[in-house]
Amino acid sequence: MAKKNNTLAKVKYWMPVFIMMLPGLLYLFINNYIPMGGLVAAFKQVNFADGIYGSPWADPWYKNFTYLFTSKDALEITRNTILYNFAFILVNNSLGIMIAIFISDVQSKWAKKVYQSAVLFPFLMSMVIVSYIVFALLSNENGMLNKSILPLLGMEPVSWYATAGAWPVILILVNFWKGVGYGCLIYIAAIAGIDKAIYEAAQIDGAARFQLIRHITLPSIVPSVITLVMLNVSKIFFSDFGLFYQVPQNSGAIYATTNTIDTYVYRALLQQNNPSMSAAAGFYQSIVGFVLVLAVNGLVRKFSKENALF
Amino acid sequence: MKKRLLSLLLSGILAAGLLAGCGNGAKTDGGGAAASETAAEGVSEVNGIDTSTTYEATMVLIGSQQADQQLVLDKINEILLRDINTKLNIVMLSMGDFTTQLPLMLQGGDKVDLVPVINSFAGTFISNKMVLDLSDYVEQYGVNMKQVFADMGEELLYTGCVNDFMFGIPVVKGSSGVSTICMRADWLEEAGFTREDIKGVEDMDQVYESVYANHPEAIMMWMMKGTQADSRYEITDPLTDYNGVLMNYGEKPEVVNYFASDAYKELVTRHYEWAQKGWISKDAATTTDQASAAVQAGRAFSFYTPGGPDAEASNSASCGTEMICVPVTEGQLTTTGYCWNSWGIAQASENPERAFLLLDYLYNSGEVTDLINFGIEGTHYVVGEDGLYHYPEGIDLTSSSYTFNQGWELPNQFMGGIWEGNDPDLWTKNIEATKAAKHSCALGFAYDSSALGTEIAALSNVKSQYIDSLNSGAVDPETELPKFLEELDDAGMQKVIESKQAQLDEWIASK
Repeated sequence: MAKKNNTLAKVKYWMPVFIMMLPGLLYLFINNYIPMGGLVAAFKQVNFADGIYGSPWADPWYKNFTYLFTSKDALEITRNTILYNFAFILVNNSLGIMIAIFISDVQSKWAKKVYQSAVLFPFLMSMVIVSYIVFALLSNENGMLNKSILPLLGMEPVSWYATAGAWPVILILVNFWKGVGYGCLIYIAAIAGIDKAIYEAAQIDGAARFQLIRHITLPSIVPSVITLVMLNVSKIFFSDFGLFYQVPQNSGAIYATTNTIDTYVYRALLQQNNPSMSAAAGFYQSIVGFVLVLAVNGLVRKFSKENALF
Repeated sequence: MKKRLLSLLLSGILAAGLLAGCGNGAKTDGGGAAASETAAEGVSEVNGIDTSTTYEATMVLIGSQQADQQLVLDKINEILLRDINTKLNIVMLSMGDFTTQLPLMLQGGDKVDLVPVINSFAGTFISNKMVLDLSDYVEQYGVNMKQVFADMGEELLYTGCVNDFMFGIPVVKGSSGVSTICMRADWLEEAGFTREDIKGVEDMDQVYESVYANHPEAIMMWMMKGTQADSRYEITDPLTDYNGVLMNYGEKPEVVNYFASDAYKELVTRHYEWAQKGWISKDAATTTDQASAAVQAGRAFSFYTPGGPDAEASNSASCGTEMICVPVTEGQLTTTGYCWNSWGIAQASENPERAFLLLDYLYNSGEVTDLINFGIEGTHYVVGEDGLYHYPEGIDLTSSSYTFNQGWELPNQFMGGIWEGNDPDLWTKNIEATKAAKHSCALGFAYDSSALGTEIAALSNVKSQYIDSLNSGAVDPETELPKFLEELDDAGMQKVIESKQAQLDEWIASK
């Protein structure tokens, strides 16, 4: 009896919080869960007279998926998607942490704000604008590199939009420049949350700056790092469409290093407008993303249980 | 306790606000149901269709909403109510929205009747059951359209079919299908050439040589991504998508791979040579700058463009300088070329017979065509002494409250007037050019690719990888063309060609 009362009291106590959660939950349900029913489109031959659920099933059931795996591009697009994302996670997080530590060490409040905003600014830019900034640098005819910088160094102009080998470097740089600010912001917040007393104690014991970073800052922000990396890993099978489509100017000659699953699907279905085949691509990406998140979380749990997400 | 009550109240309000937000999403009334009021003056039957009740039909147009839309609609409805007891609603979609929004409207079951069908979307519209098959309607009720097409060539009426499924009635237009090279008249003259000196594309070398000597900073042949010579220098019947074509303007019903032909090799080799000499921009494979803008800026001398009786007038206007357009191919008439846009009836139409009656009516009504296209005579345009339409005194493009002017998408703009700046005989000339063009032996045939989705997807990717750079001369065809062909084969080109050939043979046998 006493226990029951206890539960009731608890419910009563937390009720306002639950009601406050309600709008968010409703939003999540309407926006993220109801559309999942549409995944069934991946296994149907959708036509709009019968609607998604009334349409006949695809025969065989994997029919809408075959185009993703049969072409000889299948290996290439999978490789590009995964390797690029892997590189992005590595570069953006490691350099992001570094920049966050630098900025946190800046003493002047004003300068700190300026640096923070400057690093974040490219993140707020549209990819289309970024693509033209890159184009201004790399254009074959009028680009800054080909027109001014390379001749100055006595080098021959390179037709960048036809040189596949250069694009891994270009894309990683562009993505770093554009995306680093966002992760950086979270790390700065994490570092700001570390108790200053620990630093002071360490300094009294004679710790050098590098030792402070290594033994206090880094271990303290590990949970943030894990959360951010895990979020990124779940998207490892998706690619930033703008980055891979707009920035290389959709140039055919460099598909070998710029084609990813998303751009492939876009180009393949642009003319066909087939909702079942595009649903199949999305389904496949989500499943792989889901499995990867479970796997990474499992790994984290194995090595340090308290840092796992679930 | 007070605090908690307050927070409870607040969160309740939040939740309510969210729900209310959802409710507001209901769409505004697009057309309304068919009104059941009876006609005042009573036309109870037209072409064998019962018109005793007034029908409200909704038509989708590509363009922007006009300030005086309602005023013009009222005028149109006066005429339509009198003749066929129909009320018209117009939904305007911009070109950019059109391709995404129209499919949504069609699948969402919005009340729409007449919809424009662009032929590259026709396959999707059919396989997704978005539009109706019009074959029976045309036979039974297509009185005006049959008459209109009888003059230009009866088979043109049937170019909007795939596998006996008639997805749309093509708009009436002149389709000479001739490809031209359009050049700055002043630079051409300066180099000492006239239009008579250019008989074909092979004569361009000497022209470019001299013009380039005078203007070394300019690009001789402007090309941009996506509209390379492939779709501008047309010597084949592309059978919708260039995956298997009929060579020589569709001379023989023999489907072949265009990219493996000598003609294509010659074309890309020529462009490669031009690019090597600096006549084609190094950025041609990626740029999206329009040729007309480049000419206007003094950066370019010439470009490929579709010809026709009004080509020189319209290109001169868009380039801001006098242009000379010289044909470099023969005129041709193909299904793909003629039926680029057509008028279909949405699956969701409440009364397809009445919608079709309206469509048929539009094919023969200059009055309504002019109203939709130019607005009300005296208010939005006046007819000049030359017979051409002009803005009234004191009104121009920026101040007029009705500037639709998109005759190309209306069912039959030849019934209507001609805007100033054009040839007064434009319509007759268009009809003559169409009649004189080489008719492909597959005119009226359209390929149904729905069974080969995987192959078409793979081919699209291979083509987008190679075509822009090959056609713009950015890469050496000696090394790249064989790679391209090999990848096309891997992607299933042969399979598509075989299925296309089989469908074509069947179509010919059934004629």
